[in-house]
Parts: sequence; C-alpha cells; structure tokens
Amino acid sequence: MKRLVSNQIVGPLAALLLVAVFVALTTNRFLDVGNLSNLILQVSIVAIVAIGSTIVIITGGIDLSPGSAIALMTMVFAMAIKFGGVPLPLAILLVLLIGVLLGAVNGVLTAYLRIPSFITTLAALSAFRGTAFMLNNGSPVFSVHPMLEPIFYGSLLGVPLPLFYVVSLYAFAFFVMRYTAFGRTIYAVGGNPQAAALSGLNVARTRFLAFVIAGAMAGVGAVLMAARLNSGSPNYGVGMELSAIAAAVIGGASLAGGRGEIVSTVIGALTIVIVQNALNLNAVPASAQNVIIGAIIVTAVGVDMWRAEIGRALAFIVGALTSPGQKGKVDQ
Amino acid sequence: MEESVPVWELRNVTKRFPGVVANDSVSLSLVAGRIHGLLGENGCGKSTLVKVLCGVHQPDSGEILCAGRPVVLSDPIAARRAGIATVFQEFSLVQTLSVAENIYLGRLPRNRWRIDWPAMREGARRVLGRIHVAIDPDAIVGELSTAGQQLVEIAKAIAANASMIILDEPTTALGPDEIAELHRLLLRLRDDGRIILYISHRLDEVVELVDEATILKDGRVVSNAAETPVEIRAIVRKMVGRVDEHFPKAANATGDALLDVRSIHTSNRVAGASFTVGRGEVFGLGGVLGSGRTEIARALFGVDVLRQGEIRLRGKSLKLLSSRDAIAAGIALVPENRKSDGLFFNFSGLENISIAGLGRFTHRAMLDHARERRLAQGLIRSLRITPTAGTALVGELSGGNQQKIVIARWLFAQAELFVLDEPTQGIDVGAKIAVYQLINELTAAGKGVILISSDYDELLAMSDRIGIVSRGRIVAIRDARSLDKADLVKASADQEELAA
Repeated sequence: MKRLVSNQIVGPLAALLLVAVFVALTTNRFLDVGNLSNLILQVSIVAIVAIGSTIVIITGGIDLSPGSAIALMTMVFAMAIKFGGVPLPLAILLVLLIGVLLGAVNGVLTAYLRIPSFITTLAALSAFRGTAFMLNNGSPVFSVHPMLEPIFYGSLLGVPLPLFYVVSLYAFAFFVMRYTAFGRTIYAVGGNPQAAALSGLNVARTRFLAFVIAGAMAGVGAVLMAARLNSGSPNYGVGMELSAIAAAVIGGASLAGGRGEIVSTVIGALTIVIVQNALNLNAVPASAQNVIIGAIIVTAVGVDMWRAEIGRALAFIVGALTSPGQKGKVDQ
Repeated sequence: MEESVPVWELRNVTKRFPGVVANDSVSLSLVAGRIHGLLGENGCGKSTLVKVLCGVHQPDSGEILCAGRPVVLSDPIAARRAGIATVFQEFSLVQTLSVAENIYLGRLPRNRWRIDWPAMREGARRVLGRIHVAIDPDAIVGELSTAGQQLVEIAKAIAANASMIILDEPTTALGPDEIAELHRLLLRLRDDGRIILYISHRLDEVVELVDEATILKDGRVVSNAAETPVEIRAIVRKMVGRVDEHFPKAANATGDALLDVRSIHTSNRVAGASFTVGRGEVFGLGGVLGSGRTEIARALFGVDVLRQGEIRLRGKSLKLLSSRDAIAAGIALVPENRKSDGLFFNFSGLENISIAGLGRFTHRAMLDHARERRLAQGLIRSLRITPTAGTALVGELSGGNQQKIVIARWLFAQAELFVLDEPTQGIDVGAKIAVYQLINELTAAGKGVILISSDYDELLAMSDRIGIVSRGRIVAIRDARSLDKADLVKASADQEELAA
C-alpha cells in the first residue's frame, strides 16, 4: 500500500504548490471563489484530454491529434443536433463513439501497421481539422441547444460539474492503471516492448487500445468544449494536444515510455492553468504567456532528469554552509 | 633485437563493472609486424580489453604505453588519433555514402571551402590499391557485400595511418574464400610493419594466421604471448583451465517424456531439427554461432512459426503462432540478451517477476497486489534473490540478480519447459554458480531445461545430453559425460566444415 502515492508524484506536487503559493501571494484576486471555480472550468477540458495523452505516452507513443479531433467532433455534434435533429443524449453518445473511432484509426495505423505514432497522429492532426473545415462550408455552428451550456456551467451542491467529470475520469483512469492487468501491461509495453512480447503480452493490442482511450477522452473533451461555447467550430482545440502533452510531461511522464502517473498529469495541467491564470490576472499578453509556459516545461523536465545531480549539489552546498571549519581545511 | 620492442603495451590494466572484474591486471605487449591473437571464451574480458584500447572504457588502474610513453585514450577519437583503428562486427560505415567518402569521413580533403572530390577519389584509389583491394571508390557502401564493407573499414584504418588494427570477430559473416582474402590482406599489413590484434572464436583460423597469442580467462591473462604455443589442443587446454567443481550438477533426469520435437523447419535457419527432452533433464544445444541454436529456441517459443514438423509437449501437439501460445502451453524462454529482451527497467524486481503471470493474481479483473507480493516474495526467497528486489528498480540490481529474476518470472508463470539462451553471459562466477543451482532446482522439480551456451565447459557440465547443431539440424546427440570439450569444439567445427 506504500505505493498508493508513488514518489513520482512528489516533484510535480511540490512544483504545483510552489506555483500556487507564489501566485496567491503576488496576485490578490487569485484565491477568490469566483476565480478558483473559473480555474476548474479552464483546466477541465485539457485535464481530461491529457488522460489519453498520458496513457499513450506511457506506452511509448505520442498523440498529436486530440486538438483537431475535438474540432471535428464539435462540428459533427453541433450539426447533428441543430440540422439533424438528433436528441442531445444520443448526440453525446454519437460523439463519444466517433472519438473511439478516430482513436482506432490512429491505433490501427500505429499499432498494427507499425507507422510511428508521431507520424500517424501528425497526419491525423492535419486530416481531422481538414475534415472539420469541410463540414458546413467551414462555418461554425452557433446556439446549438438550450440544454447544452448547463453540462459545462452547471453545478451540483455548489460544486461546478466539470470538477465531477475530472475527478471521476481520473479516478477511473487511476484505477485502471494501478489495479488492472491492462494497466500493468501498458507500463510493460512502454518500458520494453520486446520483453513485453516475449513475456506473452499483446503489444499491438495494448498500443491500439491506448489510442482508443485517447480518442474517447477527446470525445469527452469535444462535448465539454461544445457545451462551454454552445457551438461547434473547426477552429476549436488549436494547440490542445500540446497543452495535454505538456501536462503529462510536467507531471513526470517520460516520452521514452514506461514512466508516468495518471494523477501527476492533473497536477501538471493545474500548474499550467494556474500560471496562465496568474498571468491573465496580471494582464501579461498571451504571447509572453506562451514563452513562460515553454520555460516551465523545460524546467520541469530538466529538474526531473537532473534530480540526482541537483540533490547532490544541494547537499554539497548545505554541507559547505553547515561545516565551514572543515571546508576551510579542505581548501588549504 | 629491435623488433621485439613493443610499440603498444598494456601494464596491469584493471577494469571493474558492478559485480564483475572484467579485466584483472592484464598485461599485453604488441610488437610491430606481428599478428597477435587475443583468445578466450565469452565473458573472459576480451571485449572489455578491446574497448579499453579503442577508448570506449577507461581502465580503473594500470597504464597503456605507446613506444614506452604512457598515453591516455580518453575517448574513441583520441584512440584513433593515437593510431588505433578497430574493426567491429558492426561496421562504423555510413551505408548511404560512397567508399571514398567513407574512407575520408571526418577529414574530407578540401580546396578552400569545397570538397576536393578528385583528390578524395584519387586518395581512396591509392589506399585501396596499396592493400590490393579491387573496390570502386565511387561504389555506395550499402551496396557492397559484408566482406567488401569490411575491406573498406580496413582501408579506412590504413588511410588514417593506423599503427594498430584491431579486428573483433571479423570472420563470422564471411565465406571461406572471403576469409582467405582477408587473411592475405592481414599478412600484407603485418609485413608492412603494422600491428594486428585479432580476436576470433574460430581457433582453426587463429592458429593459421597469428604469430603469437594471449589467452584470457575470467578477466586474467592465463597465458601470454611467450607462453602460448600456437596449436589448437594446447590453446583449448589453456582456455578451459581446470574444469573443477564450480559446476554443481545434480542428475535429476527421469525417463518421462516432456518435449518431443519432430523434424521442425522454419524460414529462419531451422531445417529439420529433431530431439526430445525428458522431465528433470537438461538438454544442451551445442554448435557455433549461426548454427541455428538460437533459432531452434525461437521456434519452440513461437517467435518463428513452423513450416513443417511438429512440437509435442506432454504428449500434446502444439500449434505455436506466437510467444503467447508458447507461454500458455508452459514453455518459457530466458533470452540471450537480458537487457534488451528480458528486463523492464521501469519496474521493480518484483513486478519483473510477475509480469508473465498476471493471470495468477487477477481476481474479477482486478490485480490482487497482496497476492502478487506473496507469490513473488516466495520466489525471491527460494531463489536467494536479494531482498531489495522487492522494491528496488531492476536496473539497480546486479547482473546475477537480474538473471535470476528473469528465470523467476517463468517459475511465477508456472512454466514446464525452460529454454535458457546463454543464461550466464556477463555475470560473475558467484552468480553463475547460483544460476547453475537454479537449473538444478528446476530439474529437481521435474521441469525440462534446454540449455544453449557458447561456454562449452558450462554446457558439458550442466547438460545431461547434448545435441550438436549445425545448419539448423541436430547432427548428433551424445551423453554429456562421454564428451570432452575438445570433442565438442571439434565436432561443431567439423560439422560446419562438412556442411560447407
């Protein structure tokens, strides 16, 4: 049970707390209830998409397509409801199904036809958004359904609904990764695919399913995105894949595969969103925000990679400061 | 007496790796105009010594002298600059460039800022001519045969003015004519005053070619150039050393049939292999590299699919389309390369043990971590694996513990037939003995073991019967006690010759 909270989570969590305290001290509106619940709304879609990105990354792959997949799915969703008269619950189901399907396309190309995932999902990034623009002559669809916005903006017992979505999906993903044979297999395939195959694990199916999960998460993201703006648009989700990957990476997932904690990813996503929020509160322009996010990604991964060396350096400095007499002798 | 002054000298070079002393105070004198053989079995420290000489490894102690002066070969570039060129089994050639470009790679001749193509071609032609190699300087390296590429590699060394050329197993991929041509070239280079350090497990070739030889065993020099007679029997005796009690073989073979392999063929080298393995028996597969030993293991494990023949386990005919089928049938493979094919470095030792038997602790689609821990800890204790394996990442454990973990994995998965491919490669003597004891425990429990090993002492001592593999077939099956090492070396070599 000692592994319930693994030590992989400690670094990202410390970073998140550090960022949060810093932001709370430097901006007076950060801790407002309004701002905090706004934060949850902001982080929810990226955080959910990042579940899929993290699982794909743990298998040793990468998924560049969810942003475009979301654009395509918001369009299908909006058009199905508005022009097709499909009832809302059925439309939601339809979008989730399309998400699975889009993920399966990535999965077949990557896992069974063995085209590198960077290439297949780069192609999907282009093709999905292209398809989105082919729908409705590339025009967004507005005012989709009166009951759509409450899905995103509604609340239960004073808690915004997206918090429930995020918590339940993360709890489920955590359970799968930690407590099922499938989760263990995902880590094994990412850690050493040859050894996994020679241990009797189905490497291709595992990789395929990772993309299917990522597609399903993009589907959930698309429903929330459409609900948030009560519309569908081929321009939604631009750069979403990068934010999701950044969340996973800041959370400690290794792009080499085999390493990563699902819970750390939500911490990574929160870190990004809090920084963005603080910069917004201080009226820092969007362009500078992107530069700062870039710096955070490099710092997070760098600290993780050089953890042992940094620890040794800190120990050395602390040692040097606490025993000046001895240090003096060494110098002579 | 000028000629006996060594150009390159190693004095008491020691190199340690975690758990192994790979080179233990090795001294070596290399004299200009001589071909020096470096001999020894797998794991004797040859490759480490070569890597020290070509700047990949730094010795922990001892020194390297060139013309009497100590030198530091801090990296491969420094070694090249010092005049040491190494031709590895995997060539350091750029497949898509021409022969001339490869020969001058890294120091292409220029006039001002342009590459001087005519000068480069002319230079390459001259170098190739000097060593009597008829290869077009404009040919693309990737389109040449293996032998041709090797000659280009040597030409590259000559063009860089190397005083010593190290060849590591240069003939494994060559045919007899190509070997003869290579040897003629090496003799010319020797007469040219260069040092050749020649490493090969093919003793027949070695005695034909070398002027002197050093024999390594367990990291130490057991016979230096002055002491080594260049003659096969004598060399084998020195390589073998005493075959003493460090093979704790227990005879557990029963008459009960476990595995029956009937004339199997695959599209990967296996051509009509037949043999049986009984419960409690260790069946050794002997034969040189490339004879098909490993490929037979692959067929048994479902990696290579049968085109013909039949595999029966416990009397039941198996249809193996993947390693999953083999594992389900109760066959385990401990692969030759534990690092690339065996271990999950993102997992603890414990998770490495349980990974092939997830079903044993899955209950209603959920992993029962307590049960996993209990089963795996039982194996960690009974196989005397270090207790830290329970939590430590497998990369932090010694090679011996890692190997035991890979074997434990299959005990966890309740396998019946264990195929062990080079199970003691790269682990130290103590850990080897532990693996041998583990083999005894497997056979005592009625499991069948197929042992593949290039270490003939080990193969002879630990097997009950030995099948000699050549060209994908078992050409002879003998009682291990009736064979000695020289027989085995000779039998494998003869069979290769007969087949060739």
